[in-house]
Amino acid sequence: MVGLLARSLGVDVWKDTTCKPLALSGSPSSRELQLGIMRHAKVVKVRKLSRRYLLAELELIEPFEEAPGLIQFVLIWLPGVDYMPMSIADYDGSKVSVFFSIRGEGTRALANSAGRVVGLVGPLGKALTVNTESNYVLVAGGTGLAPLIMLAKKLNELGLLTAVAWGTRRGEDVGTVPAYFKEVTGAELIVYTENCNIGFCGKAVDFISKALPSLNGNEVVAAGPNDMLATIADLCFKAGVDPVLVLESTVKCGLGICGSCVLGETGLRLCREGPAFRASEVIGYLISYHDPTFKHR
Amino acid sequence: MSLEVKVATLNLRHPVMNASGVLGDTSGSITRLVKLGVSAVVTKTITPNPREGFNPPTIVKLPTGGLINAVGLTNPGKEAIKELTRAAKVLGVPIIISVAGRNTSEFVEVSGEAWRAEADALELNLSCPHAKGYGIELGADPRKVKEVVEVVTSTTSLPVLVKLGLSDKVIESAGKALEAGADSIVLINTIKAMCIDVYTLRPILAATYGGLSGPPIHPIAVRVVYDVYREYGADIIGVGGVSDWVTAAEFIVAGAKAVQIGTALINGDNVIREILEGLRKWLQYHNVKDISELVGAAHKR
Repeated sequence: MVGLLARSLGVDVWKDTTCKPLALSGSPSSRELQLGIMRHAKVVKVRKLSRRYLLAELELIEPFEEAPGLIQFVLIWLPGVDYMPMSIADYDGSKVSVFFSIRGEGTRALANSAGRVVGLVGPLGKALTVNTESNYVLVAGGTGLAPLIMLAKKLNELGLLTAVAWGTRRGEDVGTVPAYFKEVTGAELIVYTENCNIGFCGKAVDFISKALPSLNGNEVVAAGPNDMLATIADLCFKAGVDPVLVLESTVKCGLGICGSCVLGETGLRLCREGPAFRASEVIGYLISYHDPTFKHR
Repeated sequence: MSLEVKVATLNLRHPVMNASGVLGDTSGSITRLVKLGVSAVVTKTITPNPREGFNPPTIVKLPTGGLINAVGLTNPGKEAIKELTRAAKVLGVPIIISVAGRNTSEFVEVSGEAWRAEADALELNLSCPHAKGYGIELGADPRKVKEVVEVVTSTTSLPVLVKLGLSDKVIESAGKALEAGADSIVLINTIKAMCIDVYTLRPILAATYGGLSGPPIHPIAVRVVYDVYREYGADIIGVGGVSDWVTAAEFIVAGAKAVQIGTALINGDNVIREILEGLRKWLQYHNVKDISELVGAAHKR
Protein backbone atom coordinates (compact mmCIF):
# COMPACT_ATOMS: atom_id res chain seq x y z
CA MET A 1 0.00 0.00 0.00
CA VAL A 2 2.79 2.36 0.90
CA GLY A 3 4.55 1.63 -2.37
CA LEU A 4 1.41 2.27 -4.40
CA LEU A 5 0.71 5.44 -2.53
CA ALA A 6 4.25 6.67 -3.13
CA ARG A 7 4.03 5.98 -6.81
CA SER A 8 0.66 7.66 -7.16
CA LEU A 9 1.98 10.74 -5.38
CA GLY A 10 5.10 10.65 -7.48
CA VAL A 11 7.38 11.04 -4.46
CA ASP A 12 9.73 8.80 -2.63
CA VAL A 13 7.98 8.64 0.73
CA TRP A 14 11.03 7.15 2.39
CA LYS A 15 12.98 10.31 1.64
CA ASP A 16 10.12 12.73 2.17
CA THR A 17 11.02 14.83 5.19
CA THR A 18 7.38 15.18 6.22
CA CYS A 19 7.50 11.46 6.98
CA LYS A 20 10.34 11.72 9.43
CA PRO A 21 8.11 12.20 12.46
CA LEU A 22 6.98 8.63 11.86
CA ALA A 23 9.76 7.58 14.19
CA LEU A 24 8.61 5.71 17.29
CA SER A 25 7.91 8.82 19.32
CA GLY A 26 5.80 7.05 21.88
CA SER A 27 8.03 4.08 22.61
CA PRO A 28 8.98 3.66 26.24
CA SER A 29 12.64 4.22 26.99
CA SER A 30 14.73 1.35 28.27
CA ARG A 31 14.71 3.10 31.64
CA GLU A 32 10.91 2.93 31.77
CA LEU A 33 11.03 -0.71 30.77
CA GLN A 34 13.35 -1.55 33.65
CA LEU A 35 11.62 0.44 36.40
CA GLY A 36 9.22 -1.54 38.53
CA ILE A 37 10.70 -4.96 37.86
CA MET A 38 11.20 -7.08 40.94
CA ARG A 39 14.69 -7.19 42.42
CA HIS A 40 15.81 -9.39 45.28
CA ALA A 41 17.46 -8.57 48.56
CA LYS A 42 18.72 -10.49 51.52
CA VAL A 43 17.53 -9.28 54.89
CA VAL A 44 20.94 -9.08 56.56
CA LYS A 45 19.87 -7.66 59.89
CA VAL A 46 16.77 -6.64 61.82
CA ARG A 47 17.64 -4.19 64.60
CA LYS A 48 15.25 -3.60 67.43
CA LEU A 49 15.58 0.14 68.10
CA SER A 50 13.00 0.13 70.87
CA ARG A 51 10.06 -1.84 72.14
CA ARG A 52 8.07 -0.55 69.18
CA TYR A 53 10.39 0.40 66.32
CA LEU A 54 12.55 -1.84 64.19
CA LEU A 55 15.05 -1.35 61.41
CA ALA A 56 15.54 -3.96 58.70
CA GLU A 57 18.64 -3.82 56.53
CA LEU A 58 18.26 -5.36 53.09
CA GLU A 59 21.30 -6.11 50.95
CA LEU A 60 20.41 -5.91 47.26
CA ILE A 61 21.23 -8.99 45.19
CA GLU A 62 20.50 -7.13 41.95
CA PRO A 63 21.16 -3.37 41.88
CA PHE A 64 18.40 -0.80 41.47
CA GLU A 65 18.01 0.68 37.99
CA GLU A 66 18.59 4.07 39.58
CA ALA A 67 19.49 5.22 43.09
CA PRO A 68 16.45 6.05 45.24
CA GLY A 69 15.54 9.70 45.48
CA LEU A 70 14.12 11.45 48.54
CA ILE A 71 10.82 10.16 50.00
CA GLN A 72 10.67 7.23 47.59
CA PHE A 73 9.54 3.78 48.64
CA VAL A 74 9.79 0.11 47.79
CA LEU A 75 7.29 -2.71 47.74
CA ILE A 76 8.64 -5.64 49.73
CA TRP A 77 7.44 -9.10 48.74
CA LEU A 78 7.42 -11.72 51.46
CA PRO A 79 6.35 -14.84 49.54
CA GLY A 80 3.04 -16.21 50.72
CA VAL A 81 2.64 -13.45 53.33
CA ASP A 82 2.44 -9.91 52.00
CA TYR A 83 3.49 -7.33 49.45
CA MET A 84 3.80 -4.08 51.32
CA PRO A 85 4.98 -0.54 50.69
CA MET A 86 7.87 0.67 52.87
CA SER A 87 9.64 4.03 52.80
CA ILE A 88 13.35 3.92 52.10
CA ALA A 89 14.84 5.19 55.35
CA ASP A 90 18.41 4.92 54.13
CA TYR A 91 20.36 3.70 51.12
CA ASP A 92 24.09 3.27 50.76
CA GLY A 93 24.53 1.99 47.21
CA SER A 94 23.77 -1.66 47.94
CA LYS A 95 21.79 -1.68 51.16
CA VAL A 96 18.25 -0.43 51.77
CA SER A 97 17.08 0.25 55.32
CA VAL A 98 13.44 0.30 56.34
CA PHE A 99 12.13 1.69 59.62
CA PHE A 100 8.89 0.12 60.81
CA SER A 101 6.73 -1.14 63.64
CA ILE A 102 4.78 -4.37 63.78
CA ARG A 103 1.29 -3.57 62.53
CA GLY A 104 0.17 -6.83 60.95
CA GLU A 105 1.16 -10.14 59.46
CA GLY A 106 3.52 -8.64 56.90
CA THR A 107 5.50 -6.44 59.26
CA ARG A 108 5.67 -9.30 61.79
CA ALA A 109 7.10 -11.58 59.10
CA LEU A 110 9.60 -8.89 58.10
CA ALA A 111 10.72 -8.58 61.73
CA ASN A 112 11.47 -12.31 61.69
CA SER A 113 13.03 -12.49 58.25
CA ALA A 114 16.76 -12.02 59.03
CA GLY A 115 18.76 -14.22 56.67
CA ARG A 116 15.91 -14.61 54.18
CA VAL A 117 15.66 -13.41 50.60
CA VAL A 118 12.72 -11.15 49.75
CA GLY A 119 11.46 -9.49 46.56
CA LEU A 120 11.87 -5.75 46.19
CA VAL A 121 10.19 -3.45 43.68
CA GLY A 122 11.31 0.16 43.47
CA PRO A 123 12.30 2.83 43.98
CA LEU A 124 8.69 3.95 43.52
CA GLY A 125 6.96 7.30 43.85
CA LYS A 126 7.99 10.75 42.76
CA ALA A 127 11.23 11.87 44.35
CA LEU A 128 11.12 15.14 46.26
CA THR A 129 13.38 17.92 44.97
CA VAL A 130 15.02 20.05 47.59
CA ASN A 131 14.45 23.78 47.34
CA THR A 132 17.95 25.09 48.07
CA GLU A 133 16.60 28.61 48.61
CA SER A 134 14.88 27.48 51.76
CA ASN A 135 15.53 25.93 55.15
CA TYR A 136 13.53 22.95 56.31
CA VAL A 137 11.56 21.94 59.36
CA LEU A 138 10.63 18.25 59.44
CA VAL A 139 7.88 16.80 61.59
CA ALA A 140 7.07 13.10 61.99
CA GLY A 141 4.64 11.01 63.96
CA GLY A 142 5.46 7.36 64.70
CA THR A 143 6.71 5.45 61.65
CA GLY A 144 6.19 8.67 59.70
CA LEU A 145 9.84 9.22 60.59
CA ALA A 146 10.82 6.60 57.97
CA PRO A 147 10.58 8.73 54.80
CA LEU A 148 12.14 11.75 56.53
CA ILE A 149 15.41 10.05 57.53
CA MET A 150 17.07 10.17 54.10
CA LEU A 151 15.66 13.65 53.59
CA ALA A 152 17.13 14.87 56.89
CA LYS A 153 20.49 13.36 55.92
CA LYS A 154 20.47 15.22 52.59
CA LEU A 155 19.29 18.51 54.11
CA ASN A 156 21.89 18.31 56.84
CA GLU A 157 24.61 17.79 54.21
CA LEU A 158 23.33 20.87 52.38
CA GLY A 159 23.15 22.87 55.61
CA LEU A 160 19.42 23.47 55.12
CA LEU A 161 18.03 21.58 58.09
CA THR A 162 16.48 23.77 60.80
CA ALA A 163 14.94 21.08 63.02
CA VAL A 164 13.41 17.60 63.07
CA ALA A 165 10.65 16.86 65.56
CA TRP A 166 9.34 13.35 66.13
CA GLY A 167 6.48 12.25 68.30
CA THR A 168 5.58 8.82 69.61
CA ARG A 169 2.98 7.82 72.15
CA ARG A 170 5.08 6.37 74.96
CA GLY A 171 8.52 7.06 76.34
CA GLU A 172 9.26 3.33 76.26
CA ASP A 173 8.97 3.44 72.47
CA VAL A 174 11.83 5.88 72.04
CA GLY A 175 14.78 3.55 72.81
CA THR A 176 17.69 4.08 70.44
CA VAL A 177 15.63 5.77 67.71
CA PRO A 178 17.27 9.20 68.27
CA ALA A 179 20.73 7.58 68.34
CA TYR A 180 20.01 5.76 65.08
CA PHE A 181 18.67 8.97 63.56
CA LYS A 182 21.83 10.82 64.50
CA GLU A 183 24.02 7.97 63.22
CA VAL A 184 22.44 8.24 59.75
CA THR A 185 21.70 11.96 59.42
CA GLY A 186 24.16 13.62 61.76
CA ALA A 187 21.25 15.64 63.13
CA GLU A 188 19.48 15.74 66.49
CA LEU A 189 15.95 14.42 66.81
CA ILE A 190 13.62 16.51 68.98
CA VAL A 191 11.47 13.93 70.74
CA TYR A 192 7.87 14.36 71.94
CA THR A 193 6.04 11.69 73.95
CA GLU A 194 2.39 11.73 74.91
CA ASN A 195 3.00 10.10 78.29
CA CYS A 196 5.75 12.66 78.88
CA ASN A 197 8.35 10.06 79.92
CA ILE A 198 11.04 11.19 77.52
CA GLY A 199 11.70 14.47 75.71
CA PHE A 200 9.03 17.11 75.39
CA CYS A 201 5.53 16.46 76.64
CA GLY A 202 2.93 16.23 73.88
CA LYS A 203 2.75 15.54 70.16
CA ALA A 204 5.03 16.45 67.28
CA VAL A 205 2.32 18.88 66.14
CA ASP A 206 3.03 20.92 69.29
CA PHE A 207 6.45 21.66 67.89
CA ILE A 208 4.85 23.31 64.88
CA SER A 209 2.45 25.32 67.06
CA LYS A 210 5.42 26.63 69.01
CA ALA A 211 7.55 27.26 65.93
CA LEU A 212 4.69 28.94 64.06
CA PRO A 213 5.88 32.57 64.41
CA SER A 214 9.33 31.68 63.08
CA LEU A 215 8.25 29.31 60.30
CA ASN A 216 8.42 31.94 57.57
CA GLY A 217 11.17 31.16 55.08
CA ASN A 218 11.10 27.49 56.00
CA GLU A 219 9.67 24.59 54.08
CA VAL A 220 7.77 22.25 56.36
CA VAL A 221 7.72 18.53 55.54
CA ALA A 222 5.48 16.31 57.65
CA ALA A 223 4.78 12.58 57.70
CA GLY A 224 2.48 10.61 59.94
CA PRO A 225 -1.17 9.77 60.47
CA ASN A 226 -3.73 11.69 58.38
CA ASP A 227 -5.27 13.56 61.33
CA MET A 228 -1.82 14.81 62.33
CA LEU A 229 -1.15 15.94 58.75
CA ALA A 230 -4.49 17.76 58.56
CA THR A 231 -3.68 19.62 61.80
CA ILE A 232 -0.21 20.54 60.57
CA ALA A 233 -1.61 21.80 57.27
CA ASP A 234 -4.11 23.94 59.15
CA LEU A 235 -1.43 25.45 61.40
CA CYS A 236 0.98 26.08 58.53
CA PHE A 237 -1.67 27.71 56.32
CA LYS A 238 -2.20 30.23 59.13
CA ALA A 239 1.52 31.06 58.95
CA GLY A 240 1.31 31.40 55.17
CA VAL A 241 3.22 28.15 54.60
CA ASP A 242 2.02 25.38 52.27
CA PRO A 243 3.70 22.33 53.83
CA VAL A 244 4.74 19.16 52.03
CA LEU A 245 2.82 16.19 53.41
CA VAL A 246 3.97 12.60 52.99
CA LEU A 247 0.82 10.50 52.83
CA GLU A 248 0.01 6.84 53.19
CA SER A 249 -2.66 4.89 51.36
CA THR A 250 -3.19 1.34 50.15
CA VAL A 251 -0.53 0.72 47.52
CA LYS A 252 -1.09 -2.53 45.65
CA CYS A 253 0.64 -2.37 42.27
CA GLY A 254 3.02 0.58 42.62
CA LEU A 255 2.77 1.09 38.84
CA GLY A 256 -0.05 3.64 38.73
CA ILE A 257 -2.72 1.45 37.20
CA CYS A 258 -4.63 -0.51 39.86
CA GLY A 259 -6.19 2.57 41.39
CA SER A 260 -6.05 1.41 45.00
CA CYS A 261 -3.83 4.30 46.15
CA VAL A 262 -5.89 7.06 44.52
CA LEU A 263 -6.58 9.80 47.08
CA GLY A 264 -10.34 10.20 47.01
CA GLU A 265 -11.79 12.75 44.60
CA THR A 266 -8.40 14.33 43.86
CA GLY A 267 -7.56 11.56 41.39
CA LEU A 268 -3.96 11.73 42.63
CA ARG A 269 -2.18 8.38 42.77
CA LEU A 270 0.01 8.09 45.83
CA CYS A 271 2.42 5.77 43.99
CA ARG A 272 2.90 8.09 40.99
CA GLU A 273 2.13 11.68 41.92
CA GLY A 274 3.15 11.10 45.57
CA PRO A 275 3.73 10.08 48.26
CA ALA A 276 4.77 13.71 48.96
CA PHE A 277 2.18 16.35 48.10
CA ARG A 278 1.69 20.04 48.79
CA ALA A 279 -0.95 20.30 51.51
CA SER A 280 -3.01 22.60 49.29
CA GLU A 281 -3.41 19.71 46.77
CA VAL A 282 -4.65 17.17 49.30
CA ILE A 283 -6.29 19.09 52.11
CA GLY A 284 -9.80 18.35 50.78
CA TYR A 285 -8.99 14.66 50.79
CA LEU A 286 -7.57 14.79 54.34
CA ILE A 287 -10.66 16.57 55.62
CA SER A 288 -13.08 14.20 53.85
CA TYR A 289 -11.11 11.28 55.23
CA HIS A 290 -12.22 12.23 58.72
CA ASP A 291 -15.76 13.11 57.84
CA PRO A 292 -17.87 10.10 58.86
CA THR A 293 -20.58 11.09 56.37
CA PHE A 294 -18.09 10.77 53.54
CA LYS A 295 -17.93 7.31 52.04
CA HIS A 296 -14.26 6.58 51.62
CA ARG A 297 -12.92 3.45 50.00
CA MET B 1 -7.77 15.62 9.27
CA SER B 2 -9.84 13.74 11.76
CA LEU B 3 -9.20 11.13 14.39
CA GLU B 4 -12.90 11.06 15.27
CA VAL B 5 -14.43 7.63 15.21
CA LYS B 6 -17.86 6.15 15.59
CA VAL B 7 -17.75 2.86 17.38
CA ALA B 8 -20.60 0.90 18.92
CA THR B 9 -22.81 3.88 17.96
CA LEU B 10 -20.70 6.21 20.15
CA ASN B 11 -19.08 9.26 18.60
CA LEU B 12 -15.57 9.54 20.01
CA ARG B 13 -13.08 12.36 19.75
CA HIS B 14 -10.33 9.90 18.89
CA PRO B 15 -9.83 6.13 18.88
CA VAL B 16 -7.94 5.64 22.17
CA MET B 17 -9.77 4.64 25.32
CA ASN B 18 -8.48 2.80 28.37
CA ALA B 19 -8.80 -0.93 28.79
CA SER B 20 -11.03 -2.11 31.59
CA GLY B 21 -9.18 -2.90 34.81
CA VAL B 22 -6.94 0.13 34.70
CA LEU B 23 -8.06 2.68 37.30
CA GLY B 24 -11.78 3.41 36.72
CA ASP B 25 -13.44 2.15 39.89
CA THR B 26 -13.81 5.42 41.82
CA SER B 27 -14.70 8.94 40.73
CA GLY B 28 -11.12 10.00 41.56
CA SER B 29 -9.59 7.36 39.33
CA ILE B 30 -11.95 8.30 36.50
CA THR B 31 -10.68 11.86 36.83
CA ARG B 32 -7.17 10.48 36.47
CA LEU B 33 -8.08 8.52 33.31
CA VAL B 34 -9.60 11.62 31.74
CA LYS B 35 -6.42 13.55 32.55
CA LEU B 36 -4.45 10.85 30.73
CA GLY B 37 -6.47 11.74 27.62
CA VAL B 38 -8.86 8.83 26.95
CA SER B 39 -11.74 9.47 24.51
CA ALA B 40 -14.04 7.24 26.57
CA VAL B 41 -13.68 5.82 30.05
CA VAL B 42 -14.09 2.09 30.50
CA THR B 43 -14.74 1.22 34.13
CA LYS B 44 -13.21 -1.59 36.08
CA THR B 45 -15.43 -4.62 35.66
CA ILE B 46 -18.48 -4.26 37.91
CA THR B 47 -20.23 -7.26 39.48
CA PRO B 48 -23.56 -7.06 41.34
CA ASN B 49 -21.88 -7.03 44.74
CA PRO B 50 -18.54 -5.50 45.80
CA ARG B 51 -15.52 -7.78 45.49
CA GLU B 52 -12.31 -7.50 47.49
CA GLY B 53 -10.25 -9.36 44.91
CA PHE B 54 -6.97 -11.10 45.59
CA ASN B 55 -4.24 -10.12 48.01
CA PRO B 56 -1.15 -8.45 46.59
CA PRO B 57 1.02 -9.05 44.66
CA THR B 58 -1.80 -8.63 42.15
CA ILE B 59 0.24 -7.06 39.34
CA VAL B 60 3.78 -8.03 38.39
CA LYS B 61 5.96 -6.30 35.82
CA LEU B 62 7.92 -8.77 33.73
CA PRO B 63 11.55 -8.39 32.69
CA THR B 64 10.51 -9.79 29.30
CA GLY B 65 7.98 -6.97 28.83
CA GLY B 66 4.35 -6.70 29.82
CA LEU B 67 2.53 -7.45 33.02
CA ILE B 68 0.84 -10.40 34.64
CA ASN B 69 -2.10 -9.53 36.84
CA ALA B 70 -4.57 -11.33 39.03
CA VAL B 71 -6.51 -8.52 40.64
CA GLY B 72 -9.58 -10.73 41.01
CA LEU B 73 -12.24 -8.36 39.69
CA THR B 74 -11.88 -6.01 42.65
CA ASN B 75 -14.80 -3.59 42.34
CA PRO B 76 -17.24 -1.53 44.38
CA GLY B 77 -20.36 -3.37 43.13
CA LYS B 78 -23.26 -2.07 41.07
CA GLU B 79 -24.24 0.59 43.61
CA ALA B 80 -21.17 2.59 42.56
CA ILE B 81 -22.21 2.87 38.89
CA LYS B 82 -24.21 6.03 39.53
CA GLU B 83 -21.21 7.80 41.06
CA LEU B 84 -18.84 6.64 38.31
CA THR B 85 -21.22 7.77 35.60
CA ARG B 86 -21.72 11.13 37.26
CA ALA B 87 -17.94 11.66 37.47
CA ALA B 88 -17.49 10.95 33.75
CA LYS B 89 -20.45 13.17 32.77
CA VAL B 90 -19.04 16.08 34.77
CA LEU B 91 -15.81 15.71 32.78
CA GLY B 92 -17.74 15.41 29.51
CA VAL B 93 -16.37 12.00 28.52
CA PRO B 94 -18.51 8.99 27.54
CA ILE B 95 -18.45 6.13 30.03
CA ILE B 96 -18.61 2.45 29.20
CA ILE B 97 -19.50 0.20 32.12
CA SER B 98 -17.63 -3.10 32.08
CA VAL B 99 -19.94 -5.79 33.40
CA ALA B 100 -19.40 -9.32 34.68
CA GLY B 101 -21.54 -11.89 36.37
CA ARG B 102 -21.61 -15.58 37.13
CA ASN B 103 -24.82 -16.07 35.17
CA THR B 104 -27.16 -14.22 32.84
CA SER B 105 -29.26 -12.73 35.62
CA GLU B 106 -26.17 -11.11 37.19
CA PHE B 107 -25.27 -9.59 33.81
CA VAL B 108 -28.79 -8.25 33.52
CA GLU B 109 -28.70 -6.91 37.09
CA VAL B 110 -25.56 -4.82 36.51
CA SER B 111 -26.54 -3.80 32.97
CA GLY B 112 -29.89 -2.55 34.24
CA GLU B 113 -28.17 -0.43 36.85
CA ALA B 114 -25.88 1.05 34.17
CA TRP B 115 -28.89 1.82 32.00
CA ARG B 116 -30.71 3.53 34.88
CA ALA B 117 -27.57 5.55 35.64
CA GLU B 118 -27.53 6.69 31.99
CA ALA B 119 -24.12 5.27 31.19
CA ASP B 120 -23.16 5.48 27.52
CA ALA B 121 -22.52 1.80 26.81
CA LEU B 122 -21.87 -1.62 28.28
CA GLU B 123 -18.84 -3.81 27.82
CA LEU B 124 -19.61 -7.41 28.72
CA ASN B 125 -16.51 -9.03 30.16
CA LEU B 126 -16.72 -12.60 28.89
CA SER B 127 -13.03 -13.19 29.18
CA CYS B 128 -11.39 -12.60 32.56
CA PRO B 129 -8.75 -15.34 32.73
CA HIS B 130 -8.29 -15.51 36.50
CA ALA B 131 -11.55 -14.98 38.41
CA LYS B 132 -13.16 -18.39 38.56
CA GLY B 133 -16.63 -18.62 37.05
CA TYR B 134 -16.58 -15.06 35.74
CA GLY B 135 -14.93 -14.91 32.39
CA ILE B 136 -13.11 -17.00 29.87
CA GLU B 137 -15.27 -20.06 30.61
CA LEU B 138 -18.17 -18.05 29.20
CA GLY B 139 -16.34 -16.45 26.30
CA ALA B 140 -14.86 -19.71 25.08
CA ASP B 141 -18.33 -21.24 24.74
CA PRO B 142 -20.14 -19.66 21.75
CA ARG B 143 -23.56 -20.86 22.97
CA LYS B 144 -23.11 -19.16 26.34
CA VAL B 145 -21.86 -16.00 24.63
CA LYS B 146 -25.03 -15.91 22.58
CA GLU B 147 -27.19 -16.51 25.64
CA VAL B 148 -25.63 -13.71 27.71
CA VAL B 149 -25.51 -11.17 24.88
CA GLU B 150 -29.08 -11.91 23.82
CA VAL B 151 -30.43 -11.41 27.30
CA VAL B 152 -28.55 -8.15 27.78
CA THR B 153 -29.38 -6.68 24.36
CA SER B 154 -33.05 -7.54 24.86
CA THR B 155 -33.28 -5.94 28.30
CA THR B 156 -31.37 -2.70 27.75
CA SER B 157 -31.21 -0.13 25.00
CA LEU B 158 -27.58 0.76 25.67
CA PRO B 159 -24.97 -0.08 23.04
CA VAL B 160 -23.35 -3.42 23.91
CA LEU B 161 -19.67 -4.19 23.47
CA VAL B 162 -18.59 -7.78 24.02
CA LYS B 163 -15.07 -8.42 25.24
CA LEU B 164 -13.67 -11.79 24.26
CA GLY B 165 -10.40 -13.46 25.12
CA LEU B 166 -8.10 -15.78 23.27
CA SER B 167 -9.57 -19.24 22.78
CA ASP B 168 -9.95 -21.72 19.95
CA LYS B 169 -13.54 -20.54 19.68
CA VAL B 170 -12.93 -16.80 19.62
CA ILE B 171 -14.00 -16.31 15.97
CA GLU B 172 -17.14 -18.36 16.48
CA SER B 173 -17.90 -16.60 19.79
CA ALA B 174 -17.55 -13.21 18.08
CA GLY B 175 -20.02 -14.36 15.42
CA LYS B 176 -22.53 -15.47 18.03
CA ALA B 177 -22.18 -12.18 19.91
CA LEU B 178 -22.90 -10.25 16.70
CA GLU B 179 -25.87 -12.48 15.91
CA ALA B 180 -27.19 -11.78 19.39
CA GLY B 181 -27.08 -8.04 18.78
CA ALA B 182 -23.65 -6.91 19.99
CA ASP B 183 -22.71 -3.51 18.59
CA SER B 184 -18.99 -4.06 18.85
CA ILE B 185 -16.49 -6.79 19.71
CA VAL B 186 -13.56 -5.95 21.99
CA LEU B 187 -10.54 -8.15 21.27
CA ILE B 188 -8.71 -9.44 23.33
CA ASN B 189 -8.45 -9.80 27.09
CA THR B 190 -5.28 -10.84 28.91
CA ILE B 191 -4.03 -14.38 28.37
CA LYS B 192 -3.75 -16.84 31.25
CA ALA B 193 -0.14 -17.02 32.41
CA MET B 194 2.07 -17.23 35.46
CA CYS B 195 5.45 -16.12 36.72
CA ILE B 196 7.62 -17.90 39.27
CA ASP B 197 10.38 -16.36 41.35
CA VAL B 198 13.56 -18.39 40.97
CA TYR B 199 15.15 -17.13 44.21
CA THR B 200 12.30 -17.92 46.57
CA LEU B 201 10.90 -20.69 44.34
CA ARG B 202 7.34 -19.38 44.62
CA PRO B 203 4.76 -18.15 42.10
CA ILE B 204 4.80 -14.37 42.52
CA LEU B 205 1.07 -13.63 42.25
CA ALA B 206 -0.89 -14.39 45.40
CA ALA B 207 -3.46 -16.02 43.11
CA THR B 208 -0.72 -18.11 41.38
CA TYR B 209 -2.19 -17.60 37.87
CA GLY B 210 -2.93 -14.33 36.19
CA GLY B 211 -3.46 -12.69 32.84
CA LEU B 212 -0.58 -11.62 30.60
CA SER B 213 -0.91 -8.17 29.02
CA GLY B 214 1.24 -5.67 27.17
CA PRO B 215 3.63 -5.95 24.21
CA PRO B 216 3.99 -9.78 24.42
CA ILE B 217 0.34 -10.31 23.47
CA HIS B 218 0.07 -7.65 20.77
CA PRO B 219 0.76 -9.88 17.73
CA ILE B 220 -1.72 -12.43 19.07
CA ALA B 221 -4.38 -9.74 19.47
CA VAL B 222 -3.67 -8.36 15.98
CA ARG B 223 -4.25 -11.85 14.53
CA VAL B 224 -7.59 -12.19 16.32
CA VAL B 225 -8.75 -8.72 15.22
CA TYR B 226 -7.68 -9.47 11.64
CA ASP B 227 -9.55 -12.78 11.59
CA VAL B 228 -12.76 -11.46 13.16
CA TYR B 229 -12.77 -8.48 10.79
CA ARG B 230 -12.18 -10.73 7.78
CA GLU B 231 -14.98 -13.05 8.85
CA TYR B 232 -17.64 -10.51 9.76
CA GLY B 233 -16.41 -7.00 8.85
CA ALA B 234 -17.59 -6.14 12.34
CA ASP B 235 -17.17 -3.13 14.57
CA ILE B 236 -14.04 -4.02 16.55
CA ILE B 237 -12.01 -2.46 19.34
CA GLY B 238 -8.44 -3.77 19.52
CA VAL B 239 -6.80 -4.35 22.88
CA GLY B 240 -3.50 -5.90 23.81
CA GLY B 241 -0.07 -4.34 23.84
CA VAL B 242 -0.84 -0.91 22.40
CA SER B 243 2.13 1.10 23.58
CA ASP B 244 2.74 3.61 20.77
CA TRP B 245 1.08 4.84 17.57
CA VAL B 246 2.49 1.95 15.53
CA THR B 247 0.90 -0.74 17.69
CA ALA B 248 -2.36 1.26 17.64
CA ALA B 249 -2.21 1.74 13.87
CA GLU B 250 -1.60 -1.97 13.39
CA PHE B 251 -4.91 -2.76 15.11
CA ILE B 252 -6.66 -0.22 12.90
CA VAL B 253 -5.37 -1.65 9.64
CA ALA B 254 -6.24 -5.14 10.93
CA GLY B 255 -9.85 -3.95 11.25
CA ALA B 256 -10.30 -2.16 14.59
CA LYS B 257 -12.12 1.17 14.69
CA ALA B 258 -10.70 2.02 18.09
CA VAL B 259 -8.14 0.69 20.55
CA GLN B 260 -7.89 0.35 24.29
CA ILE B 261 -4.72 0.84 26.29
CA GLY B 262 -3.87 -0.60 29.70
CA THR B 263 -0.37 -1.82 30.42
CA ALA B 264 1.37 1.03 28.59
CA LEU B 265 -0.10 3.53 31.04
CA ILE B 266 2.65 2.46 33.45
CA ASN B 267 5.13 4.16 31.11
CA GLY B 268 4.03 7.66 32.01
CA ASP B 269 1.28 10.18 31.59
CA ASN B 270 1.91 11.18 27.96
CA VAL B 271 1.40 7.80 26.30
CA ILE B 272 -2.04 8.59 24.87
CA ARG B 273 -1.12 12.09 23.70
CA GLU B 274 1.95 10.68 21.95
CA ILE B 275 -0.12 7.97 20.26
CA LEU B 276 -2.55 10.58 18.94
CA GLU B 277 0.25 12.76 17.64
CA GLY B 278 1.74 9.74 15.88
CA LEU B 279 -1.60 8.73 14.40
CA ARG B 280 -2.14 12.23 12.98
CA LYS B 281 1.21 12.06 11.24
CA TRP B 282 0.32 8.59 10.04
CA LEU B 283 -2.85 9.95 8.40
CA GLN B 284 -0.75 12.63 6.69
CA TYR B 285 1.69 9.98 5.55
CA HIS B 286 -1.10 8.01 3.92
CA ASN B 287 -2.67 11.19 2.66
CA VAL B 288 -6.08 10.43 4.14
CA LYS B 289 -8.37 12.88 5.90
CA ASP B 290 -10.19 10.50 8.12
CA ILE B 291 -8.85 7.62 10.16
CA SER B 292 -11.86 5.50 9.22
CA GLU B 293 -10.36 5.24 5.72
CA LEU B 294 -7.59 3.10 7.17
CA VAL B 295 -9.78 0.74 9.18
CA GLY B 296 -9.19 -2.75 7.82
CA ALA B 297 -6.77 -1.40 5.20
CA ALA B 298 -4.62 -4.53 5.49
CA HIS B 299 -7.46 -6.56 3.99
CA LYS B 300 -7.59 -4.57 0.76
CA ARG B 301 -5.66 -5.89 -2.19
